[in-house]
Parts: sequence; C-alpha cells; structure tokens
Amino acid sequence: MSRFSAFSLAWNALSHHQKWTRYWQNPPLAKKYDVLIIGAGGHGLACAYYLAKNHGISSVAVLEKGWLGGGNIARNTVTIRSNYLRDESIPFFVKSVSLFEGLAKELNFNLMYSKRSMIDVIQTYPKMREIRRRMMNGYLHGSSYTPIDVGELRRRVPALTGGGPDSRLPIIGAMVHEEAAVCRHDGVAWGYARSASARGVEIHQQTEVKSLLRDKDGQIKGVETNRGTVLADKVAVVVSGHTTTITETAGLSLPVKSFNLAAFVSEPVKPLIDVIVNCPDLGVYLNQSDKGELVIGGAPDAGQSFRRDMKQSVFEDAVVTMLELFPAFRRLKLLRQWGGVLDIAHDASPIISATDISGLFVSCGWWGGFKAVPAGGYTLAHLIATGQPHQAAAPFTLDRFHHLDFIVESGTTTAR
Amino acid sequence: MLTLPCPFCGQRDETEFLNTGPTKPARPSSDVTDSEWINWLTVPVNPVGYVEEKWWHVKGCGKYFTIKRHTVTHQIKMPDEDSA
Amino acid sequence: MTHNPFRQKTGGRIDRNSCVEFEFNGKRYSGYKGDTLASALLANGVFLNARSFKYHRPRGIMGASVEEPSCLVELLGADAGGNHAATTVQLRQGLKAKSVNCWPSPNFDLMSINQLFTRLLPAGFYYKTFMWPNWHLFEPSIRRAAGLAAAPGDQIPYQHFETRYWHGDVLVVGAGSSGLLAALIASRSGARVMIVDDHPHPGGCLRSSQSKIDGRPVIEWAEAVCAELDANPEVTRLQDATAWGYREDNLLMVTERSPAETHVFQRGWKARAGRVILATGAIERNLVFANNDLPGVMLASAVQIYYHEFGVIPGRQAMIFTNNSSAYSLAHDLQAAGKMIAGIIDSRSFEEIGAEKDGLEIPLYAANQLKAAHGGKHLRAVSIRAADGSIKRVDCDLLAVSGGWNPAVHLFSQARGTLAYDDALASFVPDKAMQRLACVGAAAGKMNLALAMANTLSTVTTCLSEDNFKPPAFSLPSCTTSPDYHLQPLWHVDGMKPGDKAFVDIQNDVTLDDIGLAMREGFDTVEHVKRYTTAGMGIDQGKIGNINVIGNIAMACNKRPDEIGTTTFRSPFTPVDFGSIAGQRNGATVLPFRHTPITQWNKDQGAVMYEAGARWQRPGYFPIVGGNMQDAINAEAEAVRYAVGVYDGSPLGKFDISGRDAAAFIDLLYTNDFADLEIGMGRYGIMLSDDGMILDDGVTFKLAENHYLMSTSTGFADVVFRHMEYLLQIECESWQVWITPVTSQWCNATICGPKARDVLEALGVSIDIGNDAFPFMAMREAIVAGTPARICRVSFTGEVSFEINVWPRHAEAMWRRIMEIGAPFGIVPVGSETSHVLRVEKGFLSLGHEVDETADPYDLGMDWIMSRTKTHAIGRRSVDIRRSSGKPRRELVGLIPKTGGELVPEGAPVTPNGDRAASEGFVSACVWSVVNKQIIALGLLTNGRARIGETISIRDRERVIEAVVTKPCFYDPKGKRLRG
Repeated sequence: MSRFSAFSLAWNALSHHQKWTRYWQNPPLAKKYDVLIIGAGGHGLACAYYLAKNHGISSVAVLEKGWLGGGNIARNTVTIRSNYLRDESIPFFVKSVSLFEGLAKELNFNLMYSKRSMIDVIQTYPKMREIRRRMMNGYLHGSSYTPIDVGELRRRVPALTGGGPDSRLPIIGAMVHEEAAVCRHDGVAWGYARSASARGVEIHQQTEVKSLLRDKDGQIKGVETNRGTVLADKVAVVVSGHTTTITETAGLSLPVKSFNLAAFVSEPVKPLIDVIVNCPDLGVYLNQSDKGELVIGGAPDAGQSFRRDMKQSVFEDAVVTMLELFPAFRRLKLLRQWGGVLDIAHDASPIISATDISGLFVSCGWWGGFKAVPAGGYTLAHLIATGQPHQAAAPFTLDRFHHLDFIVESGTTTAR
Repeated sequence: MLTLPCPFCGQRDETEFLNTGPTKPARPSSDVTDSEWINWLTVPVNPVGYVEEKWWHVKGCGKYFTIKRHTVTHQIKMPDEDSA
Repeated sequence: MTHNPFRQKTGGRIDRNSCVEFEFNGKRYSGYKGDTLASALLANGVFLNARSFKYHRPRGIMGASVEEPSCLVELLGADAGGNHAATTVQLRQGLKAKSVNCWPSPNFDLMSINQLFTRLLPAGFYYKTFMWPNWHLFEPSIRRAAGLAAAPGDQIPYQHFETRYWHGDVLVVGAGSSGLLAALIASRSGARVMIVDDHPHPGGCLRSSQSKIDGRPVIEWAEAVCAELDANPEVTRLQDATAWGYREDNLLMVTERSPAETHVFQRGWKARAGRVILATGAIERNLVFANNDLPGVMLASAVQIYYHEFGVIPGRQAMIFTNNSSAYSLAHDLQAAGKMIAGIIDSRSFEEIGAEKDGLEIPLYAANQLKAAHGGKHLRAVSIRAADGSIKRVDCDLLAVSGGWNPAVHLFSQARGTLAYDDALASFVPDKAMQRLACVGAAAGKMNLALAMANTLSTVTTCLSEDNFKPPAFSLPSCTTSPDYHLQPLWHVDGMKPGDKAFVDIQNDVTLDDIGLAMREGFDTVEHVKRYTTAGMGIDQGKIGNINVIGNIAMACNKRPDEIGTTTFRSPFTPVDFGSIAGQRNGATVLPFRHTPITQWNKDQGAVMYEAGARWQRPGYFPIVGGNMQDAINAEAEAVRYAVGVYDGSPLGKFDISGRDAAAFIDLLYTNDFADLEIGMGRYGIMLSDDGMILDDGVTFKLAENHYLMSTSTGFADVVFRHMEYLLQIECESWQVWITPVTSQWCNATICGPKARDVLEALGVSIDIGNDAFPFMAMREAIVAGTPARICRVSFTGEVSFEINVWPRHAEAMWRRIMEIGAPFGIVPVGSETSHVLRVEKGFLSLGHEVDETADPYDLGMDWIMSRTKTHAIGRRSVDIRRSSGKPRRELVGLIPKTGGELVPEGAPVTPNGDRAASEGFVSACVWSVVNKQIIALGLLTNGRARIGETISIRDRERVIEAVVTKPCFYDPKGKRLRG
C-alpha cells in the first residue's frame, strides 16, 4: 500500500501521477476462504478490515454483486452521532464515533472527518422532554448534549430564520450534540477497502451470491455465485436492504422489512450552515457538504420497497418542512435526489448476530447505519472471530426477539 | 407517487392512502407455541417481487383493501391475479 | 445607444427597438429584449466571464441552453439567486449579475493562483493529504473556496409560488418539431393534451437552422401549430417550463418559470397523464482535447443559436472541429452570412464525409484532429494534427466543437426505461419503456428532421390508437432533406500527453488525466470514476460530458460503452427552486391546527397555548398577575383541590361503537373484562398493541346493548382508530361493528373539585346528580343550563368531576356559562400543566411519560387490568412471553426527591449508587404537589415495588439527587374524593 501524504502527492506530481497504484488488489477468486463476507459496503469492508487487523484472520473474501461501496454507503446523508435514548444503544454509537475520530489516520486516508455538532431544533414540549432525557442518558455513557436557548441557536445558525414566535411551531429551544460529525462517505468504503486489501483481504466485485450453501448437518459451508462455488465455514451477510433475499436461500427468515429512504442535495452554495441541523418535530435534517451542497433527508417511504426511489409526497414533505425553518431557501435549488434501500427490524434497532444456521452471521436492520460503520464492522468481526458478541453490540443479537425484548429508540425516526 | 385502486372510490392518488404493511397470516390461535407466535408477530414476508399488502383509504372512504404490489417495479395487481 | 460589437447588423429574433440595460460584475452593458444574459454578454464581447471550480481557469460561455457547463452567475437584487447558467437567464431591464467562484473578477481572479499548483491537485488529491495534523485545520478554507454562489438570504422579497394539478390524456415534453407534431396529432384526436417546453419559445433546436417544414421556416410552422393548439381549450401549452421529474404512474413534475399571471413567480405542476410523449430532443456533446475549456471554445449548436436567435457571432475568425455531419450546417450558415471561417477539422476520413460538405468553400481538414487550443484568457489559435502526425497552427478566436448528439434520455431513464447503446450514434438511446410513454424524434435517436417527423407521426398514431383515441388522417408535412447524420466516435484526440488539460467535465474541472488516474488506482466502474473524480456531479450533471467519461473508460478497458453503462439519471433534469416544489404549503397549511371552540376564549384570557399532541392547540396554563408559571399552576391546582376548576377536555379521542358484535370487539381491544359492564356505566381500560406494549388507555361507556362510547388519549386517537378499523376490516370481517369517530362532535367542559357538584347544580341540571343517583363512572343524558348534554362522572384529577359533553355549537356558550355561574364558587380554568400535576399526585398514567413504549400494565402495578379469563385480548400473549424471560422489570414507583425545592428534570435516569453507569430506571414526571407541599415524582425503577422505602440516586449529568421510593400515589390513595 503506497503511503499517502502531502509529500507523496508532491513526489508523484513530478511524474504526472502516473505511478500511483491500485487502492485494492484484484486477485483471482479462490475456491475456499476462512471467512466470506457478502457485501462490500461500509459494514462489510469494515468487518473485513477488523478481522484482519484485530483477529489476524486474513483469509477473507468480500463478495460484491455490483461495485465496492455502491450500496447505502454511497447514498446516505453522512451524519455521525451518538445521541441515542437507551442504555443498550448509546455505548455502541459512542464507540462508533470514537473509532471514526481516529479513522483517517488509522487508514492513512483523508475521510474529511468534520466534527461539527448537531443541533436539534425543538418545537414542542414533548420533544423537549425526550431530548432532555437523551441528554441525561447520554451523559452516563459519554455522549454529550448541551441545551442552548433560541437566541444562541440563531447566532449559531443564522440561516435559520423561521420558527419565530408567531410561526406555526415556534422554536422553544435547541440542544447541541457536540461530537456529531460528517465525513466523506465514499471515502470510508475506499479507505477500509484499501487497508483491508493491504492486509490480505480479497475484494471481489461483480461477484453476485446466488445462494447460501449448507452441509448435511445444516452448518454453512459456502456460497454459490455467478462465478462459481466459494467455500467457507463462516459467512456473514452484510447487504443492507437485501438481507432476507440472501438468507432466504438457506431458509432463514428474519424480522426485517426493506424500505426506501431518500435524500437530496441543493445546488452548491458558499458556507452557510456549519453544523448539522436536525428538526425532529418537523421530520427533516440537513447539513452542508464541503462542496457547498446542502444535504437534506427526511423520513423513509411507507411500504416495502427494493427500489431506489424518490417518492414525491415524502420528498415534498421534507421540502415544505425545511422551508418552515429556512424560508429563504425557497429560492435555493434542488440539484439531485436519490434513494437507498435499507432493512428495518421489527423494533427498528440493528441486528448484529449469529443465526440459527451455524456459521452464518448477519448484520442488518441498519437505518442510519453510516454512523455505525466502524463499530458495526468492529463488533461483527469480533463475533465472527470469537463466536461471542462484542460487549458493545451484545444487545443487538437476534436473541432479543425470542423474548420480545425490543430496543425501542422512540422518536428517533427523524433523527436518523 | 402511485395511483391505487380503491374498491369503493376507484383509482386515486397514493397520498390519500396509508400503507399498513404486508398481509399477515391469520392470527394464530392461543395454542400455538411461543416461537410460532413470535414468528407471526415479528417476521414479515419481504419478497423482491409481488407483496400482498393492506392499504387504508384514510383520506377517502375509510376502506381497507388488499392489493399486490411489486417491490421493485411498483406494478400493482389485484390479489387474485397471478403474480408471476 | 447599444454598443454590441459582436452583434450582426441584421438578423436574430431580438427586439432591436427595445434596448435593455444590465450590469455584470459591476459594469454596465446593454442588450435587447429577447436576449439571454449569455447572448448579451457575447454581443458585448464579454467572453471571459467565469472561473473554473477547482483550478480557477478562465472560462467563457460554451452552450446556449440548459447544458451550459461553464458560465454560472449569481443574480443580485430582486432576482437574487445563485448558480444560474447565464444561458438560461432572460435579460431584463436592470438585471444585475456577477460571476460565481472568482474574486474580484473573472479577469483578475486571485484564486487563479491555483493554476500554478494544478499538478498537485489531481482527482481525489484531498484523500491523500490534509491529514496531519488534522483535517479541521484545512476544512474552513476549503469550504470557503467551494460552493459557487452565495445562498439566497433574507434580502429576497416575497415571491409567490403555487402548485397546480393537471390530469389528462397526453403529456408532450418538448416543443421542438417532433413535440409540436405529437401535440397536434393528439389534440386533433380529441385528447386532453399538455405540452411543456423549457425554452421561452417553441420550435426547439431547428429554430436556429435553415430547415423548413411545409415549405416554411421551422419557426413559422411552429407558430402556426401553436396557434392551433392554443385555440383548443383541451390543450395546455407551457413555455419556459421544465419537466424535471418523472414519477410513478406517469406523474411528471413541471416547473413553470414565467406564468401569465404576474403575481405568480413560479408555478409547480403535478401533471398525471395517460400517456407521455418524450420529444426532449438531443444535446450536443463536447470533444476532449487540450485546453478545450478556453473562452472562445463553444458547442457548434450554440454558435448557431446565437447567430439565428440573437444575431450574435461571438468571434471574428471561426474554426469548426467535429466528428460528425451536424456541425456543417453551422459552416453553411456562417458562409452564407459572409463570415470568416478558418476551416473545418473533421476527424472522419474524406470518404466518410457526405453531402454535408457540398457547397462549402472553406478549408476542410478531413481525417485531421484538433491537437490543442491555444491562448491565455481567450482562444488565439488551434493546432491541427494531420493523419501523418504533422502539426499545423491556425489562428482563430472562435472554435465551434461538435462531438455528436446524445438523445436527451433523462426523463425516459427517470421513468425506469432501459437504455441501449447505438453504435451509429455512439450514444445511449431509449430501449424498453417501463411506463406508458414513448420517445419520438431526436430523443428516440432520429437525428434527421424528416426521419424524426415520420417517426413521431407513426409512434404517436400508434399510441393514440392503443389509448382508444381515433387519430385523424394526417399527412406528414414536407420537410427539407438534410444529409444523413453520420458520426465516428472520438472519445479523445490522439497524442495526448500527461498534464494536458483536456476536460471531460468542464464544470467540475475533471480532466482526461483524472479519469486515467482513477482507473490506475482501481476505480474502474463508471460509478467509481464519477465519485472519485466528481465527473458529472456538477450543476449541469454532465449533460455534454458524461458520454466522454463513459467512452474513455470503455476505451481504457477495451470494452464497449454499454459494458461500462451510464450512471443513474436522477431528477431533477435541471435544478429547480425548492419554492416551486412546496408551492403554497407553509405554516398552518403544512401542519394544520386542531382546536376546540374554546381556543379563542383561551387566547383572550392570555393563556399560554401550545401544541399538545396530535396537532391540538391547548392552553398550557393561565398566567396570573404578579406570579410566575409555577404560581399560576399552583393556583389552578389549589382551586381544583380545594374549590373547583374546569378544563376543556374536547381533544380527547371519542368513538361511537355499535353493532351486533360491539361488546365482543371491546373485549378484544381491552385487556380487562367489559362483559359485565352495565348500561349507563363506564370502565377504564388499557389496550395493547400486538407487541404487548400499551397502546392507549381511556374510559368506555356502555350507552345501550351493543352501543359504546370509547374515549382515548388525545395523542393516540388516530392510532387507535387505525388499529380498530384494521382489526374490523381485516381480521374480523364477519363481525358487525360500526365505528364513528366523534371527537369533534362532542366537546366537553370538565368541572372538577369539591365544589363541582355545586356548580353543576347552579348551572341548572335536569337530573338528580347526587352520588347515589349518579355515581362515579356513570354517564347520564341531561339538560344542563338549557342545553342537551351527556354528563360523565370520570376523573383524571382525583376530585369529583363532571364531564359535560355538548355539541360543538353549544360548547363556547356552555363554557362561558360555567365560568359565569362558577365564579362565586371560585372556579378557574385549568391548563394542561395543572392537569399534569393533579394526575401525578394521584399516580394516574400518562402516555409518553410512564408509558414510554417499554412498560406493560404489570409494570405499572395494574395486574387487576389483565383479565384472568380473557387471554385472547390483543397483545396479551406478547406480554406473557416477554415476562416469561424472567428479566427484571422496571416498575412504577413514587419518588420523593431531596432537592430542596427544585424540580427534577423529567426523564432523568436513576443509576446504581448515582454512578455514571447504565441506568436502573428514570423519573417519568416530577411536580410540586400543592397538597403535599413538596416535590413529588413518579418513576420507573428496576424491581421498584420491592424497593419502597429505599433511597435511590437520580443522575442529572454531574448532579446526583437522592430520592426516597414510595408507592406511586401521593393523594387520597383510596379514591374517596373522586367517588364522593
């Protein structure tokens, strides 16, 4: 792996950058590996990297139907935060944020990790109560939240001119989550892929898993792909949105449904908002990318879907609610919109778990899963390598459904 | 946005309706095992293809009805139509 | 007097009698009515009018329409808005604009220093550096440098946006020759037609050509067709309107930028059509050679448009570089106009060049390629590479480039249609449509007028017949024949060197080198290249350049372009104002209020009103003179405890439930038994979701056999209604139960407190309201103060309460009467805050407080509500399963916090020993108790019922508050008062 730095950039400039090498290798597909990871998205690549780095398992192949990093890590709204409500969730996301903070240097890849605070704009008293509760619970686990008044909110987000005392939903306060960050989402996939590849992990693109293979005892033994059979005793399904499509080939159903979640960006404009603004009462959130585009997200579409889509009514609701708080954006322009398919578990919390099929692991139910990429990969690797859930992810196994012991992150819908 | 066939009002815009999820099998009787109950409760069908689902014409006549909708193309069929 | 050095003496469709003054980058210029900002700048000889995004290279205008990649301007003053392509800005008197992305001016741009470092800034350079010491140090300056124009701010005057719906038979997108023909046939068939076009005038690209239809110039034919369409009341024709989004079931999003009604700034249309005809034409593509971004390099079609439409030829000495036949018509135009043409460079061999060259008397460099453009801030010369490798330098100041044409498949592709690669066109063309639509003309790959028209006629006729219209006999208008369109792909010119600035994406400064670097580093799919280099991610979304990205990837991997594929075509086709998407929706039209007939009275009293769930606007409290909020709440609470208060309970959900199986249905919904409920009596019940979580609680009265009135919480009334209808219509189809929501049909004023009965007596009531005749939990119909009413004896306060339900039209009068009659008894209105205090004192539940999606009735100490006999009630099974795990539960307790007078924040966690560790419970509510004269709280605590008397620790960040655990009731635990 050639090392990246200002110096190496300048050195390579002398040869017109003709000497840079591949980020990840492109080896032939072998017949057998120790571990197969289905899905070269953020979680899959992170898992592969941590398997090699933390557990010394480098006979790993990541199998990707399309192109590496082309799933939801290519189409999310890049918000990283840990302000969850429940004791079960907060430590996991705190871990993820802390892994994220050191990731650019660890991977020697500039992820443009930008810690910039998220501000929740609060417009109803029930929401104020819920967010205060998050503040006090977060403190217990090292996730910070600081209340600010409306004046301070407007000072920190001057573009926020709506929500005044005479508006439909006057702003009553705000809460700052300081460790919230954004970063270059594609870069996370590329950075993990590059470092995983350097540690011997193989990444095979355009390699579609058709079915899971089990031996006569029911234990997993490999997968059937469009490029033939690949064997392994351990297989992890990390294919947000399409988990059940894969697991059902082995007769395994899961408590998840797939949905489309859309986002959109404005035209690029000069720096305007330097925090992440979340409006949970209205159901919209936004941040401004380094390129100047406002990145805006809302709620998922109703109804199951495997189609990357942009439902006009859902999109329109996000636009009108954004304009409630940012009326001047009426003259800002929509540049691009897109959707992504994710699966949401019955209790809307993630699943990182072994399954009823020995050797088969799943990481799914990611809704707002970008922020969880480092911890999701880290803990999944731990589970695969040791057979035991990592402490931070222990609440997220499938076992919780056996006792209907749900992790209900109420009111998180819009914050994701 | 789709248009949906309300059996009472005819073809109407999707925004008048609420999707209430895929058709569940009949509610299990009280003598099923816990795991059968949990399965009924938490594990939905999640097909890439036609899913039979319930919609509620909440901003219209109030009728709940069943259609089959393709989860990729969003093509709609009546529940008795072949979903090949 | 207008000084337009590059304006021809005659010609163009501008109004030469109307001079228009405008300002650009602080300098005053003039143009004519009918100009775009771009044409006026070119006429004035302002060629250097932009700087590029990354390298700050000098840039000019390249296109003439929405494809413009280069000249983006920010409009100032009343029009304020950023990032407009100058080619799409209609010139008007007083227009002020400035270049984006350069300072102080495009001619002298300080950031052009970046050009010195271009070698250091290849694609993705930022991934490789700025890591030490920390990206945070670099980010602010990078952010300032990015972002193009400033965002619109509050200086913009209010502009009215509106939305309109259209439903019809045929929607035609594009009013070029094909689109107009399609609309004409459809309208003559009796169809309801809409035709939208994103240019100010109809006629499409052939407005700017010598082509003729029916023996007339295209523009005259177009005007005649429009006149016929406009005379048909079933036709809606929109110009300067962009169909930017293609949704499901043929729903198109259209933004109309210049509606006839002047008070409307923009109008968003939601057009749903039985059939869509995409006549979106084609977009000319760029060619890739060194310095292909210099001011003076333009698309050939753009030069033609400036000449025909605006009478502008933006140069003195023109050169043409093409790989196809279409650019020759420009040569013919310029030659006919007597303009200097230095020559045509055509990458095709002489044999491949057809009739298009006939009649031209200019140098033709066949089988030659343009090696590079030369110049500093403007094009001065080009070097031409002959087939034998020899180089010739020719002076010129205008280079018209044509890389061929791409059908505008954006909407087709948004509609999920598949694309096929056409070798002859070297482009992607529509293949299989996935909605009821058809592409016609150039959008379907028919690049020749006669072919396009014939294709349109047959396609549209077939569509109309399929849609049960009878298209009239229609003979194809005669069209000028033009040479067959012929092209030879040229993804980049030969002999490029590393370091050459040959752009594939002009707007995002992506060069051919960048594509090469991306591929060398392993980014070898089109999506990877796009994301790594940012090619095609600008405001123009790569309309003229994406095909060259695909072609060059294909070339480098030795594959066909269709093996590489395209990136996804995403809406919008061109950027669209958020205002036109939102339309009139703002304020209470986004979130409508629900309010009761008492709202105005509350406001008149100065009540502090706020949203109290499900969009109901309710009074929080009634401020008192000389007191703060707590004083006001205390006064209200004391009135209820010691005298009498009244609150408006109208928002509580109410459902009238009747029918043969109503009793069985109530039994299914609630966990407790209702079978023995007597007529005229009510019972409190809890309903669960299938998950075994508390869904709602409330009192249900039995009005008659199989006739009930159910009340629900305010916030969950809609959810309960959905739940009940789902069960009835899906699971209990054979049951006979009818549910009528009557929340807004019965308003109620609830009089509560020890003097409540006295007030009701004083009001005048037609029945005996003594405790024996009218006991707790009973309902009676009566005349109260001369008004028919239903009176319920329920209590959410712990005091004797009479809920007086009347029809909404009587509600305000009843309320005023109660206040008047109650005055001598000391009656006060009570807000939500006080209701909260009263219910906490009593330990009554509140959804959203104690019930936080985790607690079940046992946790809340309500074992009695879980019927022993009735196991089929919704949710019961799940509760039993959950509890069978033996995991400790959090149970409802009372808490007496030792704070010394300060309320504990609601939601505060309880932790073991007050440690900073996972919680063992939380405070669900905390109030000042007027009866106990101390702070009391409710909470959920692990194994709480076994811990009564224990001191626990509440943790509010750094602060630890001790509290004593008690039973969850602080007042009248036996309920004597409310039954009294």
